Amino acid sequence: MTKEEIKKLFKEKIVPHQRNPYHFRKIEKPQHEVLAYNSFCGDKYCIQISEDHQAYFQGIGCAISQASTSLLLQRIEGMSGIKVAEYCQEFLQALAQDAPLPDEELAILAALKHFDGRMDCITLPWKALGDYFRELEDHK
Amino acid sequence: MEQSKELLNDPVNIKQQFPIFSKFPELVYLDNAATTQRPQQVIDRINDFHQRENASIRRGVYQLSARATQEFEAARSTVANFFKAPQDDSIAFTQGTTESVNIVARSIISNKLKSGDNVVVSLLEHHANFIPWQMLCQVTGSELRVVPITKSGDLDLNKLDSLIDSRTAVVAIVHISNTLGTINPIKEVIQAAHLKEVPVLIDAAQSAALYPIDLTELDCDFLVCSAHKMFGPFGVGVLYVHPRHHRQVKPYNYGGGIIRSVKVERTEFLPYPYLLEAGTPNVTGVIGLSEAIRFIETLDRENLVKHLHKLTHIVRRELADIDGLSLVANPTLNSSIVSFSLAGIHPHDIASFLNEDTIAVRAGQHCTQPLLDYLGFSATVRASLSIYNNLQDVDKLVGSTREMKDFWT
Repeated sequence: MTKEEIKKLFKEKIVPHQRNPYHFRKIEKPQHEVLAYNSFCGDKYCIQISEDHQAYFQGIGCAISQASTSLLLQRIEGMSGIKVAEYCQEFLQALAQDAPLPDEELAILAALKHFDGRMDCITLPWKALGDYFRELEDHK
Repeated sequence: MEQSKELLNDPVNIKQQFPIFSKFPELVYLDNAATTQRPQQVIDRINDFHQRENASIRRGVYQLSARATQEFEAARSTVANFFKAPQDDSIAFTQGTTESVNIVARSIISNKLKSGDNVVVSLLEHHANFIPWQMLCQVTGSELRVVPITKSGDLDLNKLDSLIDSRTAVVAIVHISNTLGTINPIKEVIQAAHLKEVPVLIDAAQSAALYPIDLTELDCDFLVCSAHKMFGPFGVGVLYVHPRHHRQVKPYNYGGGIIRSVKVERTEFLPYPYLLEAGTPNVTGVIGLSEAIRFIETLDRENLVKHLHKLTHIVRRELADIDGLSLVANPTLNSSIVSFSLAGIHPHDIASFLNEDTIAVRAGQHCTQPLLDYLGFSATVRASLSIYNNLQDVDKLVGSTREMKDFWT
Protein backbone atom coordinates (compact mmCIF):
# COMPACT_ATOMS: atom_id res chain seq x y z
CA MET A 1 0.00 0.00 0.00
CA THR A 2 1.40 3.39 -0.96
CA LYS A 3 1.51 6.36 1.38
CA GLU A 4 -1.25 8.05 -0.61
CA GLU A 5 -3.47 4.95 -0.43
CA ILE A 6 -2.96 4.73 3.32
CA LYS A 7 -3.75 8.40 3.73
CA LYS A 8 -6.93 7.99 1.68
CA LEU A 9 -7.96 4.97 3.72
CA PHE A 10 -7.34 6.84 6.93
CA LYS A 11 -9.19 9.95 5.87
CA GLU A 12 -12.23 8.12 4.49
CA LYS A 13 -12.60 5.16 6.78
CA ILE A 14 -10.71 5.60 10.04
CA VAL A 15 -10.82 9.30 10.87
CA PRO A 16 -14.67 9.41 10.73
CA HIS A 17 -14.78 6.72 13.42
CA GLN A 18 -12.25 8.64 15.44
CA ARG A 19 -14.27 11.84 15.15
CA ASN A 20 -17.65 10.22 15.74
CA PRO A 21 -17.05 6.96 17.54
CA TYR A 22 -20.02 4.74 18.11
CA HIS A 23 -21.66 4.99 21.57
CA PHE A 24 -18.68 6.90 22.97
CA ARG A 25 -20.01 7.53 26.45
CA LYS A 26 -20.22 6.01 29.88
CA ILE A 27 -23.45 4.47 31.15
CA GLU A 28 -24.78 3.93 34.67
CA LYS A 29 -25.04 0.37 35.97
CA PRO A 30 -23.58 -1.66 33.07
CA GLN A 31 -24.02 -5.41 33.15
CA HIS A 32 -20.42 -5.92 32.01
CA GLU A 33 -17.44 -3.60 32.19
CA VAL A 34 -14.22 -4.54 30.43
CA LEU A 35 -10.91 -2.68 30.40
CA ALA A 36 -9.03 -2.74 27.10
CA TYR A 37 -5.58 -1.48 27.95
CA ASN A 38 -2.27 -1.55 26.12
CA SER A 39 0.36 -0.73 28.72
CA PHE A 40 3.06 -0.26 26.06
CA CYS A 41 1.37 2.65 24.33
CA GLY A 42 -1.18 3.83 26.89
CA ASP A 43 -4.35 3.18 24.86
CA LYS A 44 -7.08 2.58 27.41
CA TYR A 45 -10.80 2.03 26.86
CA CYS A 46 -13.55 1.10 29.26
CA ILE A 47 -16.07 -1.00 27.33
CA GLN A 48 -19.49 -1.36 28.88
CA ILE A 49 -22.36 -3.67 27.95
CA SER A 50 -25.81 -2.77 29.22
CA GLU A 51 -28.46 -5.22 30.38
CA ASP A 52 -30.19 -4.93 27.01
CA HIS A 53 -26.91 -5.86 25.22
CA GLN A 54 -26.05 -2.37 24.01
CA ALA A 55 -22.32 -1.63 23.90
CA TYR A 56 -20.57 1.64 24.89
CA PHE A 57 -17.01 2.76 25.34
CA GLN A 58 -14.93 5.61 26.59
CA GLY A 59 -11.23 6.30 26.95
CA ILE A 60 -8.10 7.41 25.18
CA GLY A 61 -6.35 5.85 22.22
CA CYS A 62 -5.15 6.18 18.67
CA ALA A 63 -7.36 6.48 15.61
CA ILE A 64 -6.94 2.80 14.72
CA SER A 65 -7.79 1.37 18.15
CA GLN A 66 -10.70 3.80 18.43
CA ALA A 67 -12.05 2.89 15.01
CA SER A 68 -11.55 -0.80 15.76
CA THR A 69 -13.47 -0.51 19.04
CA SER A 70 -16.19 1.54 17.39
CA LEU A 71 -16.62 -1.06 14.61
CA LEU A 72 -16.57 -3.96 17.06
CA LEU A 73 -19.21 -2.48 19.36
CA GLN A 74 -21.56 -1.79 16.45
CA ARG A 75 -21.39 -5.46 15.56
CA ILE A 76 -21.85 -7.19 18.91
CA GLU A 77 -24.99 -5.50 20.08
CA GLY A 78 -27.68 -8.01 20.91
CA MET A 79 -25.22 -10.90 21.05
CA SER A 80 -24.88 -13.20 24.08
CA GLY A 81 -21.54 -13.31 25.93
CA ILE A 82 -20.47 -16.57 24.32
CA LYS A 83 -21.43 -15.24 20.89
CA VAL A 84 -19.24 -12.17 21.48
CA ALA A 85 -16.32 -14.40 22.51
CA GLU A 86 -16.73 -16.51 19.36
CA TYR A 87 -17.12 -13.47 17.12
CA CYS A 88 -13.95 -11.88 18.52
CA GLN A 89 -12.01 -15.12 18.15
CA GLU A 90 -13.14 -15.57 14.53
CA PHE A 91 -12.02 -12.05 13.65
CA LEU A 92 -8.65 -12.42 15.38
CA GLN A 93 -8.07 -15.76 13.63
CA ALA A 94 -8.98 -14.37 10.23
CA LEU A 95 -6.70 -11.41 10.85
CA ALA A 96 -3.79 -13.64 11.86
CA GLN A 97 -4.25 -15.96 8.89
CA ASP A 98 -4.90 -13.23 6.32
CA ALA A 99 -8.25 -14.91 5.64
CA PRO A 100 -10.78 -12.83 3.70
CA LEU A 101 -13.27 -10.89 5.80
CA PRO A 102 -16.76 -10.69 4.31
CA ASP A 103 -17.48 -7.49 6.21
CA GLU A 104 -16.15 -4.57 4.13
CA GLU A 105 -15.39 -2.27 7.07
CA LEU A 106 -13.58 -5.01 8.99
CA ALA A 107 -11.58 -5.73 5.83
CA ILE A 108 -10.32 -2.15 6.09
CA LEU A 109 -9.08 -2.86 9.59
CA ALA A 110 -7.31 -5.93 8.24
CA ALA A 111 -5.68 -3.77 5.55
CA LEU A 112 -4.20 -1.61 8.29
CA LYS A 113 -2.25 -4.64 9.44
CA HIS A 114 0.33 -3.58 6.88
CA PHE A 115 0.83 -0.32 8.71
CA ASP A 116 4.03 -1.30 10.57
CA GLY A 117 3.60 -2.14 14.23
CA ARG A 118 -0.12 -1.38 14.45
CA MET A 119 -1.51 -4.90 14.90
CA ASP A 120 -1.99 -4.36 18.66
CA CYS A 121 -4.04 -1.23 17.96
CA ILE A 122 -6.44 -3.25 15.78
CA THR A 123 -6.74 -6.21 18.13
CA LEU A 124 -6.90 -4.38 21.49
CA PRO A 125 -10.70 -4.33 22.00
CA TRP A 126 -11.24 -7.70 20.28
CA LYS A 127 -8.79 -9.43 22.60
CA ALA A 128 -10.11 -7.70 25.72
CA LEU A 129 -13.78 -8.47 25.03
CA GLY A 130 -13.09 -11.97 23.72
CA ASP A 131 -10.97 -12.87 26.76
CA TYR A 132 -13.51 -11.41 29.17
CA PHE A 133 -16.47 -13.39 27.83
CA ARG A 134 -14.37 -16.54 27.32
CA GLU A 135 -13.35 -16.43 30.97
CA LEU A 136 -16.93 -15.80 32.11
CA GLU A 137 -18.00 -18.83 30.12
CA ASP A 138 -15.19 -21.00 31.54
CA HIS A 139 -16.20 -20.12 35.10
CA LYS A 140 -19.87 -20.98 34.59
CA MET B 1 46.46 18.04 20.71
CA GLU B 2 47.34 16.42 17.40
CA GLN B 3 45.10 13.55 18.28
CA SER B 4 42.08 15.73 19.08
CA LYS B 5 42.19 17.20 15.55
CA GLU B 6 41.67 13.74 14.14
CA LEU B 7 38.57 13.05 16.17
CA LEU B 8 35.39 12.64 14.14
CA ASN B 9 32.83 15.40 14.44
CA ASP B 10 31.15 15.51 11.04
CA PRO B 11 27.75 13.73 11.08
CA VAL B 12 28.10 12.95 7.34
CA ASN B 13 31.40 11.10 7.84
CA ILE B 14 30.07 9.46 10.96
CA LYS B 15 26.89 8.34 9.19
CA GLN B 16 28.98 6.53 6.57
CA GLN B 17 30.32 4.28 9.28
CA PHE B 18 26.85 2.92 10.05
CA PRO B 19 25.88 0.37 7.37
CA ILE B 20 22.16 0.61 8.14
CA PHE B 21 22.17 4.00 6.43
CA SER B 22 23.71 2.52 3.28
CA LYS B 23 21.02 -0.13 3.27
CA PHE B 24 18.27 2.46 3.92
CA PRO B 25 19.61 5.81 2.62
CA GLU B 26 16.26 7.52 3.20
CA LEU B 27 16.04 6.47 6.85
CA VAL B 28 15.77 9.30 9.35
CA TYR B 29 16.51 7.46 12.55
CA LEU B 30 15.25 9.42 15.54
CA ASP B 31 14.76 6.65 18.10
CA ASN B 32 18.24 6.75 19.57
CA ALA B 33 16.93 6.93 23.13
CA ALA B 34 15.56 3.41 22.56
CA THR B 35 18.68 2.05 20.88
CA THR B 36 21.50 3.50 18.80
CA GLN B 37 22.65 2.04 15.48
CA ARG B 38 25.85 -0.05 15.25
CA PRO B 39 28.93 1.12 13.35
CA GLN B 40 30.74 -1.23 10.95
CA GLN B 41 33.66 -1.41 13.39
CA VAL B 42 31.47 -3.03 16.09
CA ILE B 43 29.73 -5.35 13.63
CA ASP B 44 33.11 -6.48 12.26
CA ARG B 45 34.55 -7.07 15.71
CA ILE B 46 31.59 -9.25 16.72
CA ASN B 47 31.84 -11.17 13.44
CA ASP B 48 35.57 -11.63 13.93
CA PHE B 49 35.04 -13.01 17.39
CA HIS B 50 32.47 -15.48 16.10
CA GLN B 51 34.68 -16.52 13.22
CA ARG B 52 38.10 -16.66 14.86
CA GLU B 53 37.96 -16.41 18.63
CA ASN B 54 34.77 -18.07 19.86
CA ALA B 55 35.22 -20.09 23.05
CA SER B 56 33.82 -20.20 26.56
CA ILE B 57 35.79 -18.04 28.97
CA ARG B 58 37.60 -18.93 32.21
CA ARG B 59 37.01 -22.68 32.05
CA GLY B 60 39.21 -23.80 29.19
CA VAL B 61 42.96 -24.42 29.28
CA TYR B 62 43.28 -24.29 25.53
CA GLN B 63 44.45 -21.31 23.53
CA LEU B 64 41.07 -20.15 22.21
CA SER B 65 39.51 -20.09 25.66
CA ALA B 66 42.51 -18.34 27.19
CA ARG B 67 42.37 -15.69 24.46
CA ALA B 68 38.62 -15.17 24.88
CA THR B 69 39.10 -14.81 28.64
CA GLN B 70 41.83 -12.26 28.04
CA GLU B 71 39.60 -10.26 25.70
CA PHE B 72 36.71 -10.39 28.16
CA GLU B 73 38.84 -9.09 31.02
CA ALA B 74 40.43 -6.50 28.74
CA ALA B 75 36.91 -5.26 28.02
CA ARG B 76 36.43 -4.75 31.76
CA SER B 77 39.52 -2.51 31.75
CA THR B 78 38.31 -0.66 28.64
CA VAL B 79 34.97 0.10 30.31
CA ALA B 80 36.66 1.07 33.59
CA ASN B 81 39.07 3.43 31.78
CA PHE B 82 36.29 4.92 29.69
CA PHE B 83 34.35 5.91 32.80
CA LYS B 84 37.54 6.65 34.79
CA ALA B 85 36.56 4.11 37.46
CA PRO B 86 38.97 3.89 40.40
CA GLN B 87 39.57 0.15 39.79
CA ASP B 88 38.98 -2.20 36.85
CA ASP B 89 37.22 -4.66 39.14
CA SER B 90 34.56 -2.05 39.94
CA ILE B 91 32.87 -3.01 36.67
CA ALA B 92 30.48 -5.96 36.42
CA PHE B 93 28.85 -7.05 33.19
CA THR B 94 25.10 -7.59 33.24
CA GLN B 95 22.31 -8.01 30.73
CA GLY B 96 21.53 -4.30 30.65
CA THR B 97 20.62 -1.22 32.67
CA THR B 98 17.46 -2.87 34.00
CA GLU B 99 19.34 -5.84 35.39
CA SER B 100 22.05 -3.58 36.81
CA VAL B 101 19.47 -1.58 38.80
CA ASN B 102 17.81 -4.78 39.98
CA ILE B 103 21.16 -6.08 41.20
CA VAL B 104 21.82 -2.95 43.24
CA ALA B 105 18.30 -3.12 44.67
CA ARG B 106 18.19 -6.82 45.44
CA SER B 107 21.82 -7.78 46.05
CA ILE B 108 23.12 -4.67 47.83
CA ILE B 109 20.49 -2.28 49.21
CA SER B 110 18.02 -5.01 50.24
CA ASN B 111 20.61 -6.35 52.71
CA LYS B 112 20.36 -3.22 54.80
CA LEU B 113 16.87 -1.91 54.13
CA LYS B 114 14.55 -2.12 57.14
CA SER B 115 10.96 -1.18 57.78
CA GLY B 116 10.75 2.57 58.24
CA ASP B 117 13.72 3.29 55.97
CA ASN B 118 13.22 4.99 52.63
CA VAL B 119 14.49 5.06 49.05
CA VAL B 120 14.56 8.29 47.05
CA VAL B 121 13.92 8.28 43.29
CA SER B 122 12.60 11.00 40.98
CA LEU B 123 9.51 11.41 38.86
CA LEU B 124 11.78 11.39 35.80
CA GLU B 125 12.83 7.76 36.26
CA HIS B 126 12.42 5.10 33.61
CA HIS B 127 10.41 2.16 35.01
CA ALA B 128 13.73 0.28 35.20
CA ASN B 129 14.88 2.66 37.94
CA PHE B 130 11.48 2.92 39.57
CA ILE B 131 9.78 -0.46 39.84
CA PRO B 132 12.78 -2.34 41.43
CA TRP B 133 12.75 0.26 44.24
CA GLN B 134 8.98 0.31 44.54
CA MET B 135 8.93 -3.50 44.89
CA LEU B 136 11.80 -3.50 47.36
CA CYS B 137 10.05 -0.88 49.49
CA GLN B 138 6.81 -2.85 49.44
CA VAL B 139 8.55 -6.05 50.55
CA THR B 140 10.55 -4.41 53.33
CA GLY B 141 7.91 -1.95 54.57
CA SER B 142 10.07 0.98 53.48
CA GLU B 143 8.92 4.20 51.92
CA LEU B 144 9.45 5.14 48.27
CA ARG B 145 10.01 8.88 48.10
CA VAL B 146 9.62 10.50 44.70
CA VAL B 147 11.36 13.81 43.98
CA PRO B 148 8.97 15.99 41.97
CA ILE B 149 9.84 18.07 38.91
CA THR B 150 9.30 21.74 38.21
CA LYS B 151 6.94 23.03 35.52
CA SER B 152 9.84 23.20 33.06
CA GLY B 153 10.63 19.51 33.60
CA ASP B 154 13.67 19.99 35.82
CA LEU B 155 14.39 17.98 38.93
CA ASP B 156 13.23 19.91 42.00
CA LEU B 157 16.54 20.05 43.87
CA ASN B 158 15.09 21.75 46.95
CA LYS B 159 12.59 18.94 47.39
CA LEU B 160 15.31 16.37 46.78
CA ASP B 161 17.28 17.70 49.70
CA SER B 162 14.28 17.66 52.02
CA LEU B 163 13.40 14.07 51.08
CA ILE B 164 16.84 12.67 51.99
CA ASP B 165 17.25 11.91 55.69
CA SER B 166 19.09 9.58 58.04
CA ARG B 167 16.77 6.69 57.08
CA THR B 168 17.43 6.99 53.34
CA ALA B 169 19.08 3.81 52.06
CA VAL B 170 19.84 5.06 48.55
CA VAL B 171 19.10 7.88 46.12
CA ALA B 172 18.54 6.49 42.62
CA ILE B 173 18.48 9.20 39.95
CA VAL B 174 18.54 9.26 36.18
CA HIS B 175 21.26 11.34 34.50
CA ILE B 176 19.25 12.17 31.36
CA SER B 177 15.48 11.67 31.24
CA ASN B 178 14.57 9.30 28.40
CA THR B 179 11.25 11.09 27.92
CA LEU B 180 11.90 14.80 28.46
CA GLY B 181 15.62 14.95 27.73
CA THR B 182 16.29 16.76 31.01
CA ILE B 183 19.96 16.62 32.00
CA ASN B 184 19.98 16.26 35.77
CA PRO B 185 22.68 17.97 37.85
CA ILE B 186 24.06 14.68 39.13
CA LYS B 187 27.08 16.28 40.84
CA GLU B 188 24.75 18.31 43.04
CA VAL B 189 22.54 15.26 43.68
CA ILE B 190 25.55 13.19 44.74
CA GLN B 191 26.89 15.96 46.96
CA ALA B 192 23.50 16.48 48.64
CA ALA B 193 23.14 12.76 49.34
CA HIS B 194 26.72 12.25 50.46
CA LEU B 195 26.42 15.14 52.93
CA LYS B 196 23.90 12.89 54.69
CA GLU B 197 26.03 9.78 54.06
CA VAL B 198 23.50 8.32 51.64
CA PRO B 199 24.76 6.32 48.62
CA VAL B 200 23.69 7.33 45.09
CA LEU B 201 22.90 5.30 42.00
CA ILE B 202 23.13 7.08 38.65
CA ASP B 203 21.14 5.70 35.72
CA ALA B 204 23.40 6.70 32.84
CA ALA B 205 21.54 4.77 30.10
CA GLN B 206 20.96 7.93 28.04
CA SER B 207 24.21 9.70 28.83
CA ALA B 208 26.94 7.05 28.89
CA ALA B 209 27.78 7.23 25.18
CA LEU B 210 28.22 10.95 24.58
CA TYR B 211 28.48 12.74 27.93
CA PRO B 212 31.89 12.01 29.45
CA ILE B 213 31.58 10.49 32.91
CA ASP B 214 34.45 10.58 35.39
CA LEU B 215 33.55 8.13 38.15
CA THR B 216 36.58 9.01 40.24
CA GLU B 217 35.57 12.66 40.28
CA LEU B 218 31.82 12.05 40.56
CA ASP B 219 32.36 9.62 43.44
CA CYS B 220 28.88 8.13 43.01
CA ASP B 221 28.25 4.73 44.56
CA PHE B 222 26.64 2.94 41.64
CA LEU B 223 26.30 3.65 37.94
CA VAL B 224 24.37 1.65 35.38
CA CYS B 225 24.12 1.72 31.57
CA SER B 226 23.54 -0.44 28.48
CA ALA B 227 25.80 -1.26 25.54
CA HIS B 228 23.03 -0.97 22.94
CA LYS B 229 22.54 2.72 23.67
CA MET B 230 26.29 3.20 23.16
CA PHE B 231 26.54 1.89 19.57
CA GLY B 232 27.17 -1.60 20.98
CA PRO B 233 25.12 -4.80 20.88
CA PHE B 234 21.92 -5.73 22.71
CA GLY B 235 22.02 -7.83 25.85
CA VAL B 236 24.98 -6.32 27.68
CA GLY B 237 24.93 -3.85 30.53
CA VAL B 238 27.41 -2.26 32.86
CA LEU B 239 27.21 -2.07 36.60
CA TYR B 240 29.73 0.08 38.41
CA VAL B 241 30.01 -0.38 42.15
CA HIS B 242 32.35 1.86 44.11
CA PRO B 243 35.07 -0.18 45.88
CA ARG B 244 33.71 0.92 49.28
CA HIS B 245 30.64 -1.26 48.63
CA HIS B 246 32.28 -4.31 47.02
CA ARG B 247 32.11 -6.44 50.14
CA GLN B 248 28.41 -5.79 50.58
CA VAL B 249 27.47 -7.25 47.20
CA LYS B 250 25.75 -10.65 47.35
CA PRO B 251 25.31 -12.97 44.35
CA TYR B 252 22.29 -12.15 42.20
CA ASN B 253 22.01 -15.39 40.26
CA TYR B 254 23.44 -18.63 41.60
CA GLY B 255 25.39 -20.96 39.34
CA GLY B 256 28.76 -21.80 37.91
CA GLY B 257 31.65 -19.39 37.52
CA ILE B 258 31.04 -17.38 40.70
CA ILE B 259 32.37 -19.77 43.34
CA ARG B 260 35.51 -20.28 45.38
CA SER B 261 34.36 -23.70 46.55
CA VAL B 262 31.20 -25.75 46.62
CA LYS B 263 30.63 -28.41 49.25
CA VAL B 264 27.50 -30.34 50.05
CA GLU B 265 27.08 -28.18 53.16
CA ARG B 266 27.90 -24.73 51.79
CA THR B 267 29.24 -22.61 48.97
CA GLU B 268 31.82 -19.85 49.14
CA PHE B 269 31.64 -17.17 46.51
CA LEU B 270 34.21 -15.14 44.60
CA PRO B 271 34.42 -11.43 45.40
CA TYR B 272 32.64 -8.69 43.44
CA PRO B 273 32.38 -8.39 40.41
CA TYR B 274 32.83 -12.09 39.64
CA LEU B 275 30.07 -13.24 42.03
CA LEU B 276 27.57 -11.44 39.81
CA GLU B 277 28.59 -13.14 36.59
CA ALA B 278 27.09 -16.61 37.04
CA GLY B 279 26.82 -18.94 34.07
CA THR B 280 28.46 -18.37 30.72
CA PRO B 281 28.48 -14.60 30.21
CA ASN B 282 27.57 -12.80 26.99
CA VAL B 283 31.20 -12.80 25.84
CA THR B 284 30.42 -11.59 22.32
CA GLY B 285 28.30 -8.78 23.69
CA VAL B 286 30.99 -7.64 26.12
CA ILE B 287 33.61 -7.65 23.36
CA GLY B 288 31.16 -5.72 21.17
CA LEU B 289 30.73 -3.15 23.94
CA SER B 290 34.48 -2.83 24.25
CA GLU B 291 34.72 -2.13 20.51
CA ALA B 292 31.84 0.35 20.74
CA ILE B 293 33.85 2.25 23.34
CA ARG B 294 36.86 2.23 21.02
CA PHE B 295 34.55 3.71 18.37
CA ILE B 296 33.25 6.37 20.80
CA GLU B 297 36.83 7.27 21.61
CA THR B 298 37.34 8.23 17.96
CA LEU B 299 34.60 10.85 18.30
CA ASP B 300 34.95 14.49 19.19
CA ARG B 301 32.25 14.17 21.80
CA GLU B 302 32.47 17.74 23.02
CA ASN B 303 31.69 19.20 19.61
CA LEU B 304 29.21 16.47 18.70
CA VAL B 305 27.20 17.17 21.84
CA LYS B 306 27.25 20.88 21.02
CA HIS B 307 26.06 20.06 17.50
CA LEU B 308 23.29 17.82 18.89
CA HIS B 309 22.14 20.47 21.35
CA LYS B 310 22.00 22.97 18.49
CA LEU B 311 19.99 20.56 16.29
CA THR B 312 17.66 19.80 19.18
CA HIS B 313 17.13 23.50 19.77
CA ILE B 314 16.09 23.83 16.11
CA VAL B 315 13.76 20.82 16.40
CA ARG B 316 12.09 22.34 19.46
CA ARG B 317 11.79 25.78 17.87
CA GLU B 318 10.42 24.53 14.54
CA LEU B 319 8.01 22.02 16.06
CA ALA B 320 6.68 24.58 18.54
CA ASP B 321 5.79 26.75 15.54
CA ILE B 322 3.27 24.16 14.28
CA ASP B 323 -0.28 25.09 15.21
CA GLY B 324 -1.68 22.72 17.84
CA LEU B 325 1.68 21.17 18.67
CA SER B 326 2.80 21.13 22.31
CA LEU B 327 6.31 20.37 23.46
CA VAL B 328 6.27 18.26 26.60
CA ALA B 329 8.26 20.31 29.11
CA ASN B 330 11.13 22.68 28.44
CA PRO B 331 14.03 21.65 30.66
CA THR B 332 16.71 24.21 31.50
CA LEU B 333 19.37 21.77 30.38
CA ASN B 334 18.17 19.33 27.78
CA SER B 335 19.95 16.72 25.75
CA SER B 336 18.91 15.56 22.28
CA ILE B 337 15.51 14.16 23.24
CA VAL B 338 12.25 15.97 22.44
CA SER B 339 8.74 14.83 23.38
CA PHE B 340 5.67 16.40 21.81
CA SER B 341 1.98 15.97 21.13
CA LEU B 342 -0.39 17.30 18.47
CA ALA B 343 -3.95 18.29 19.33
CA GLY B 344 -6.46 15.81 17.93
CA ILE B 345 -3.92 13.29 16.63
CA HIS B 346 -2.82 10.38 18.75
CA PRO B 347 0.98 9.91 19.07
CA HIS B 348 0.74 6.45 17.53
CA ASP B 349 -0.95 7.84 14.44
CA ILE B 350 1.70 10.55 14.22
CA ALA B 351 4.49 7.96 14.45
CA SER B 352 2.83 5.77 11.81
CA PHE B 353 2.54 8.66 9.38
CA LEU B 354 6.12 9.73 10.02
CA ASN B 355 7.10 6.13 9.32
CA GLU B 356 5.48 6.45 5.91
CA ASP B 357 8.07 9.19 5.29
CA THR B 358 10.82 6.85 6.58
CA ILE B 359 11.16 8.75 9.83
CA ALA B 360 11.58 6.50 12.85
CA VAL B 361 10.33 8.03 16.11
CA ARG B 362 8.88 6.48 19.25
CA ALA B 363 5.29 6.95 20.40
CA GLY B 364 3.90 5.84 23.72
CA GLN B 365 4.69 6.20 27.37
CA HIS B 366 8.42 5.51 27.08
CA CYS B 367 8.34 3.40 30.27
CA THR B 368 7.67 6.53 32.32
CA GLN B 369 4.02 6.21 33.28
CA PRO B 370 4.23 8.13 36.59
CA LEU B 371 5.86 11.04 34.75
CA LEU B 372 3.28 11.13 31.95
CA ASP B 373 0.42 10.79 34.46
CA TYR B 374 1.81 13.78 36.33
CA LEU B 375 2.15 15.81 33.14
CA GLY B 376 -1.34 14.80 32.00
CA PHE B 377 -0.36 12.93 28.83
CA SER B 378 -1.53 9.42 27.99
CA ALA B 379 1.32 9.18 25.47
CA THR B 380 3.76 11.37 23.54
CA VAL B 381 5.83 11.29 20.37
CA ARG B 382 9.53 11.24 21.12
CA ALA B 383 12.30 12.18 18.72
CA SER B 384 15.80 11.41 20.00
CA LEU B 385 18.87 12.40 18.00
CA SER B 386 22.36 11.01 17.83
CA ILE B 387 25.71 11.60 16.18
CA TYR B 388 24.60 10.68 12.63
CA ASN B 389 21.60 13.04 12.55
CA ASN B 390 21.85 16.29 10.62
CA LEU B 391 19.83 19.34 9.61
CA GLN B 392 18.19 17.47 6.73
CA ASP B 393 16.79 14.96 9.22
CA VAL B 394 15.38 17.79 11.30
CA ASP B 395 13.84 19.47 8.26
CA LYS B 396 12.25 16.20 7.22
CA LEU B 397 10.77 15.60 10.69
CA VAL B 398 9.35 19.11 10.90
CA GLY B 399 8.08 19.09 7.30
CA SER B 400 6.35 15.72 7.67
CA THR B 401 4.79 16.68 10.98
CA ARG B 402 3.47 19.90 9.46
CA GLU B 403 2.13 18.04 6.42
CA MET B 404 0.42 15.50 8.65
CA LYS B 405 -1.20 18.22 10.71
CA ASP B 406 -2.62 19.76 7.51
CA PHE B 407 -3.85 16.37 6.29
CA TRP B 408 -5.56 15.54 9.56
CA THR B 409 -7.35 18.85 10.09
